[in-house]
Amino acid sequence: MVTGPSEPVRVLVVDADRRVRQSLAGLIRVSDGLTLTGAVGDPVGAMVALEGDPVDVVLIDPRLPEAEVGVALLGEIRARWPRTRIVALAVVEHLGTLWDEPERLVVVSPASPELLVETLRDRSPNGSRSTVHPWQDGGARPTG
Amino acid sequence: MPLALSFGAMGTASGEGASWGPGPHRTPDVPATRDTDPVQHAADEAARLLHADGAIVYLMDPGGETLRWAADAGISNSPERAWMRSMVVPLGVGMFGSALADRSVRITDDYPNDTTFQHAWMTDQVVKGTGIRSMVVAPMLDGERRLGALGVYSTRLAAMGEPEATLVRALADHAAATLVAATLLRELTRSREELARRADQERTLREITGRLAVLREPTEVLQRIVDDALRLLRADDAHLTLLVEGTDYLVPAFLAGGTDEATRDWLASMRFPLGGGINGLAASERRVYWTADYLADERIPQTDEDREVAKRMGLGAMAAAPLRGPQDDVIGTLAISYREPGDVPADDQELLQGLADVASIAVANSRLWQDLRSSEQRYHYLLRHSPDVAWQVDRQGRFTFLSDAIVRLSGRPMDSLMGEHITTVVHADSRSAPEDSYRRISAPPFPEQTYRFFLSDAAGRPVPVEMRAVADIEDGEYRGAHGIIRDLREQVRLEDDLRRGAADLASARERARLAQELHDSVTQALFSMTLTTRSVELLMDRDPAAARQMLGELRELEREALAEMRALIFELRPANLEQDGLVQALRTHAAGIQGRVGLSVRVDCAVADDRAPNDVETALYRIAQEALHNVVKHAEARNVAITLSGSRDEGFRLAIQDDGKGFDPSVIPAGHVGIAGMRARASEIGSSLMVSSGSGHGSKVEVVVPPQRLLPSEALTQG
Repeated sequence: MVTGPSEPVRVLVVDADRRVRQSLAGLIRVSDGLTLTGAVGDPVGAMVALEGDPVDVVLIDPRLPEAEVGVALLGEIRARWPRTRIVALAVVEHLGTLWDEPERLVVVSPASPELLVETLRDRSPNGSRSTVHPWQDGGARPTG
Repeated sequence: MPLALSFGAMGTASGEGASWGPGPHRTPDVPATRDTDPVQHAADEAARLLHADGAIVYLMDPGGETLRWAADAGISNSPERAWMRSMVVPLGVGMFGSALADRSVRITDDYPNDTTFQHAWMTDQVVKGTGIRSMVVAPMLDGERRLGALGVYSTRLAAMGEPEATLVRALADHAAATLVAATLLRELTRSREELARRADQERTLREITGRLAVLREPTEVLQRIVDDALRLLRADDAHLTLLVEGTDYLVPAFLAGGTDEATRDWLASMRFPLGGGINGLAASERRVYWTADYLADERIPQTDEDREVAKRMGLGAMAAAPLRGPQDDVIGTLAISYREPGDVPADDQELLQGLADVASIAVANSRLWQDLRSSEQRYHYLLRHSPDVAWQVDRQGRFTFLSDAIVRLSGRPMDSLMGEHITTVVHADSRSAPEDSYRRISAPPFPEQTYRFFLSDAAGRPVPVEMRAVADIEDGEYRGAHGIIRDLREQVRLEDDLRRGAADLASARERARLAQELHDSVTQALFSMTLTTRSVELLMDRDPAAARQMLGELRELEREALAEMRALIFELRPANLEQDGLVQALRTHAAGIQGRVGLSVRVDCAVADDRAPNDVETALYRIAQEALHNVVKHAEARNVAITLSGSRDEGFRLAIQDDGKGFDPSVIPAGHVGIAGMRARASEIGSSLMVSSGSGHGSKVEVVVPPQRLLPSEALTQG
């Protein structure tokens, strides 16, 4: 189920890195206005979780570990759960070329946990459309 | 019956077609008219001896149907004499025609009124105009053959009797005999001339042909042919044209004859198109083409230029023969021309074609010589400049030929090698391959050999080369061999460079991957710590116990990050391999990956003494690292097993196997150089690398290190 405006925002974490996944889950658990529905490390896990329990926001690092895999997953989520917002972490530079609907993608800097939490809570259509990953300059990792 | 009388002057009186007269061009020294000297003599004698008013001789035309005036005596200049001289009298008509038809002497006392023979209006007019009354005509016979008739006349009636008839017959017989003798003499002379001419032609052709065999430069022969054509065919001008290759026009190349210098120069600048002009026609129709009168001949397409040439050269009769090339192509023409119009008889055409054929052979020969010469030059150039050594040995294996490249390759002077046995150029350390190969090539079935060995240079240093050898067999027996020796120094150098390049590329990839892993692991760890710190902040007031627990997690994160940093630093400095050994290094690396991505990596070592030379350990480590990286990135595997097995005696075997989705090894997407890098690493240590996989069956990378590579490195340098 998806929550109404007064209820906590339901969040699913999708991240291949175990430590980041656990840290994000921990932060969401202790943050007001957010409810963690699950934390998964691969696309199959994400689909299983969403089918069982739809959410308001999917917080995802698209590198699963390939960005292409993440983008494919995003496309699937967009098609099957069109109302679900997507907040992407650590977006690689060429994600824009893989993702043809940038307005539905909220990119958030992981440098500021406060901003991250705020973005997850934001229900406005465009949310807080930040920002630049602090390590993105020269830090976009090669994928091939 | 109408009488077929006509005037010879109407176009045929020149003697054309007469058996006594040759054509105008061939024999200008022989009179063009019939030989009338004995005949005139007979007429004069008959008139004188018989005290007659006049005498006339008619001779048979070659066809045997008509008579034609040949001589007269005693007839004053008058229209009648002109008529008489131009008349053609059918056999059996008039006194002359009748006497000759009957082969008997005829006498008439009164010509105009004599009805014993057939009259004709024209002869009667002449008789009337001349005042002829009585006449004796005796046939001139050579056995059965009618030659003509001699007649003597008087303006008086019945002035001729038996005595006159007897005398005229005697004179006619004498004239006939003289005529026959003269004809025979002339024929003899002509046949002698003809014989001489034939002999000349034959000698000329023989000489030209003889020259062809020794002359490589056709200019002299071709000029000679043109000169001979002029002489043998008694032409006024002769020229030879050649087809300009790749075009459809002929250019005059050789000239002979009376043409002046300026006209020759001008002619040499002409271009005769195929199919136009007589040269063009002969060339395009591939046969002798001739004309009795060039400018008047409508068969010959003529441009203004052709007509200008014809006028300037004063062309009358002309003939051209094609120069036929070896492939039945036409390569030029040989032409003769005469200032006067006239026939070019078949014999002459044949001779012209004969000369043209010889000229064709000269041109074709010259082209073949040229081809041969340039091919020889090319061959010598290639032989001299080829980087490969061309060689030949005799049955005993001694050098009978070596190209110059051997000097460059071996640094030895040529004369120190010729006559030496082929093995003298082989380096002492690589004798076996050449010796084996020599044994094989010199025995049936004499197989072609290709093998590599080291040549020994002047200083005794080994030079890597490749030898190709082919046996020289005669009548099934080995007579020696020939082939090439190719310098492989550059190739060996390039192969080394290539290997080094691949290794450099692999190193560069490793560095890039380490940078990425550093970024991934350390930044992700720092990010996790930032998030966890924020969680601790939020919990500190609200739930201190939970905050404490989270601080514990934070510490754990820090520990992990430090461990990863150490592992990465270790990877950046693989010199630690030397200290820890390959298996331990692989375990450390596996642990790092396990911690970071949750992939289970097991490292098994089934070798008692697992230490190998440094370069081997480094290469194996890098291969395992690359293989693991590929598993993490592409395989979607849960488990990986790294196994080191084998022994020092049989060599080491390192295998990295996963249970992932697998792939088709024959279809590696472009840009994925991982496997190539691993192969380069393996090749550096003299080992082979195998990749096996199938869709859904995981993948396996195996490296097999041969035992000799496990020996201490100083032992290797000897190989």
